[in-house]
Amino acid sequence: MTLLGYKGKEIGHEVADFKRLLHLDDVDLVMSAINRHASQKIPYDIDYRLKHKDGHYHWFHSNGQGLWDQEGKLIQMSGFITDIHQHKEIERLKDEFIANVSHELRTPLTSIRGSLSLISLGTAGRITPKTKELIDIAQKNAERLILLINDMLDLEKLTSGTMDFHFEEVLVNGLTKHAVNANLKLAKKHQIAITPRYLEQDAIIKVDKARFIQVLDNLLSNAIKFSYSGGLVEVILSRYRGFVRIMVVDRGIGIPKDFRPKIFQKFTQADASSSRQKAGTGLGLTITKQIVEYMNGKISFKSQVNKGTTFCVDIPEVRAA
Amino acid sequence: MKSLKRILYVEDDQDISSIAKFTLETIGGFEVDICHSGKEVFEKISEFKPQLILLDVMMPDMDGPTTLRKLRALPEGKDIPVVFVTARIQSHQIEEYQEFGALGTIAKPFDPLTLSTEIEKLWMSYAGRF
Repeated sequence: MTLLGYKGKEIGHEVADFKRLLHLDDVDLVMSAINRHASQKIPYDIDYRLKHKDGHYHWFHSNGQGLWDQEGKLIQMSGFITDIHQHKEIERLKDEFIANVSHELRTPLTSIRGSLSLISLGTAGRITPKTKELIDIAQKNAERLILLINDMLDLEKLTSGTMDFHFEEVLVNGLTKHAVNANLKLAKKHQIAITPRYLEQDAIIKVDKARFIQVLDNLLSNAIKFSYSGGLVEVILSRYRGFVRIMVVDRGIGIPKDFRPKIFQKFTQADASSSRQKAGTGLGLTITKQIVEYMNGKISFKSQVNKGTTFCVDIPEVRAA
Repeated sequence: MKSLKRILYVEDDQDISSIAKFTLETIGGFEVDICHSGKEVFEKISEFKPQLILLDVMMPDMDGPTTLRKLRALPEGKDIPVVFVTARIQSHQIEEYQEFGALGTIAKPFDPLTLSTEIEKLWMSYAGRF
């Protein structure tokens, strides 16, 4: 309590006293973490804000261990509380900085891309094939930078909780088909066939349409890019324990074993040479995972080197259609 | 239906406005004038007599919505349709622009190859009302 500037008996030691000091946005998070720990023994390990005596909300990290009686009732909690306020503040400044820089980069890049596409089409006068070749290189790289900046902005919005989500009830078959169709061109370029298997009885899920498509699009384009030419990518929909399960299966190069634990981290790609070949930003799966979790879903994968990779997304089913 | 000829584009970034002018004139065949601030609009409007105004949202000194509000208070500006051109395109922001009385919103970065068609479409939706 001294961490918060209070003296002796100014506040009590009951859960209710603690709850009163909690930031409104954190109450649900903390209470459900305590309940999950009490009932399912899921580790209690969270960040939250408490009201300081001077009025500001202060960040803390807690991890703790419960003590249960013989009937399995939680009687006591003990553990560590760490002051992480400065750490959180630095993190916030860093995210804000990244968002600002990305915005500032986007404006000049927009001009570069716009000029290049007008020149490339001959709108500003005839150009020689050699010039066209160079303009195309510049254009391709401008596109790549824009993708990277958009990804960084997306990630910042997801982290700060300011990403716009429009949840609506939609049919999963149609939405998946949309994502599959959007990738046919890329598949053709890499000589890959996509075979979708939809639900026999369609299901309704509650998601943000555009974000859901973004998730599937990311998994599909990865599957295509990391497949061997002439290969097959399968998209399989099924039902599993109240969830709609979407599996994206490829028979490609697989994910190296030592890379697997890092796959959802920012700016990671299996190795520098493959990243150059496949031209990604290294943020796709980080964003994908965050979006899936935002939509109350789960994502996991299985992979074998040279045999292929399966990504599995589970989204709660609202009801059968 | 009256066809669209004169467009005024209000944008503080010189390069973006040059690209827009170039593509709207070359591809769209419009006559385009540029203002680099909201203030300039009021100097140009009676002389250029735009049929449509493209308006950036975030500008130093006077932002887009303020410019629109002041424009609506003038007799020569109260009926000119205005389209916002902006990177701020979250759905609540677009709703806000509509409440301000905008005809539509064009997302930045715009594609210079399709900008003219996009504007033509918005113009049709506007001019078709009469």
